Amino acid sequence: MTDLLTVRDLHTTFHTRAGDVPAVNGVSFTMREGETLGIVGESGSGKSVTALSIMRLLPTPPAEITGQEVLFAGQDLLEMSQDQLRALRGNKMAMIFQDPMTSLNPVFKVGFQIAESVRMHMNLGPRDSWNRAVEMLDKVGIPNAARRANDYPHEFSGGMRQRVMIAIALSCNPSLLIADEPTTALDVTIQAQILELMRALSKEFQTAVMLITHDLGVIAGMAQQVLVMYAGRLVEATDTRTLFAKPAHPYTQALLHSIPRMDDAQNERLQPITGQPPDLLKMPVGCSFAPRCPKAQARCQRETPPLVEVGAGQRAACFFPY
Amino acid sequence: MLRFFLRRLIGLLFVVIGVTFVTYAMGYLAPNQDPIAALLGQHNTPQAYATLKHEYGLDKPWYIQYGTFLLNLAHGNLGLSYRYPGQSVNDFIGPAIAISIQLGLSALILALVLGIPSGIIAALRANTWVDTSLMSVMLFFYAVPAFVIIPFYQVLIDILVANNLPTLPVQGWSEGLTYKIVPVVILALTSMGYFARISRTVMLEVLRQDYVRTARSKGLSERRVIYLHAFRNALLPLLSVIGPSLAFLVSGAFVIEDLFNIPGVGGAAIQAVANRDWPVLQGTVVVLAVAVVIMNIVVDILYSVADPRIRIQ
Repeated sequence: MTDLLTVRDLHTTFHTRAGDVPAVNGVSFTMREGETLGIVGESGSGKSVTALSIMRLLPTPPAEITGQEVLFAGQDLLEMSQDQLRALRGNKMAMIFQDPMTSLNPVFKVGFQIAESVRMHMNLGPRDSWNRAVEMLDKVGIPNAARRANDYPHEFSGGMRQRVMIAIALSCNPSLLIADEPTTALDVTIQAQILELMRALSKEFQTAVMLITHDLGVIAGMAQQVLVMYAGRLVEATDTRTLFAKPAHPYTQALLHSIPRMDDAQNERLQPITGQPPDLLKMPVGCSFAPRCPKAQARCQRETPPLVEVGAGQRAACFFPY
Repeated sequence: MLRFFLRRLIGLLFVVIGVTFVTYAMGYLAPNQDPIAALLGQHNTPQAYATLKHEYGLDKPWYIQYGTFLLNLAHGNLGLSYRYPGQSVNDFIGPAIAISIQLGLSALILALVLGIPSGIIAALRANTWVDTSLMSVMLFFYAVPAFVIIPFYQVLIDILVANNLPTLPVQGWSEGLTYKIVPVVILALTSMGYFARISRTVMLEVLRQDYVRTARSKGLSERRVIYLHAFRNALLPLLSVIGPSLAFLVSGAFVIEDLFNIPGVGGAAIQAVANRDWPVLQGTVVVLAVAVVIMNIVVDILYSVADPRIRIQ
């Protein structure tokens, strides 16, 4: 498999009245074609901002996106003009969002909202693009697709709307689909259906998926590679199996300890991660996880650990891994 | 759709009854001179007085008078003038209605055409000098009433005339298009300021919505994102303020018609007050109330067309 997306030293800073917020701070990773990459981290860790920076969907100002390069299919997204980006967005790279209730435009028919994208990127006429929209609705499992294409978003349930979002995103056969917490707003049974649908369709369309979530269970079921983010930095990057079997970074370990296990003794308590993530306006010197880390030593307070190879195919930003 | 109309028509009925009852009561209770005596003038004989009083129905108790008025109204007959013998109120305000509709609608359209784009431009350039200066101008027009603007315009005319520059006429509504420009523009200013400020707020709100981000993520052009996806949604709250703002426009029209000697409904109403011509005043109030209600119904229908979530069943 060849590399589809290479991100090198991505920085995204929000210039606010209170000061500069480094929401993404030197993130580097590679995604291969057709692969599913999970990004986990708690709220505010920079997962969504990373995704939006790659799509260059953040308003600038207040955001400022810099970095060495963001190579997508050989082209540097950071060097592109808005016109060049528009030709890629919705076409070769597509995105679905967290809240399907607000992500669709309430005043347009869902068929129109799919066809609009198809018509522009695939150069199809009105009739052909509408047919493609119906075909996509059918593919994402909406019954009576031909009739439902004429309905408005408010006539669909949350899960159905997320299916419509997936239909829009995949309508032009993208090679990269960014899914920003696609199931967070849905109830559990619907979550499973949507994930299954994404898995099946990404396989069928051979689309690489960047799956952003705070749910390690979703990662376990979907992703081949995982990035763990904390306070705007990557703290661990590895394949899914290694992440669960042999987590290197203390933060990853703590995350895994904080989820309930079916096979555990009944009355064992969950171990929360004490403290709060740092305020991005006042980032501590050294490792940003150090104030909450059980293994932190004097060196962690002074120096920022770089993301280095700690095992086969496993990188972690920690002086004292495992 | 039919049920919607029926409901609104019943509502209209209540508005008409309410409005006429209040104006009727005011006319009845006002310490006015006897209209019959005034109409007869020097020809006042007891015989003629009784005949005319009967003709006007004023020999009946008030509730019969009011009931007769409503009955006539149902037939489109607004009664007889107290001031001009033999003239019906219909003759009086019939031609005035057409003029007022022309004035009001032109001003409304002008206010929308200038106000909404200004608001959108300000929203797209939010917190820049474009936004600040545009909105300051709009706030000025919104806050300063027409009768304060007019003296400013007088000064402007004086300056133009002093420099041998052409000016626009301010008197003579019926003489041609150029005569209508100044009154229409001045009437439109307040509403324009209002629509501009509302449009800015609404547009800023809509541009923050998730579906706008979705539209961008689809790779649509910025123009399509703003003027199709965002504006189509901004239209909904805009439509809902246009209805109530019509009342503003109507009361503004009273002043403008009076100041520019425009023979419209508002001017007729002010004259009727001066003449203590209660039937004419009552007629104009009914006409204006019905006009405002009908325009609101039109806005409601447009709203339901614009928003699929509120389709009229």
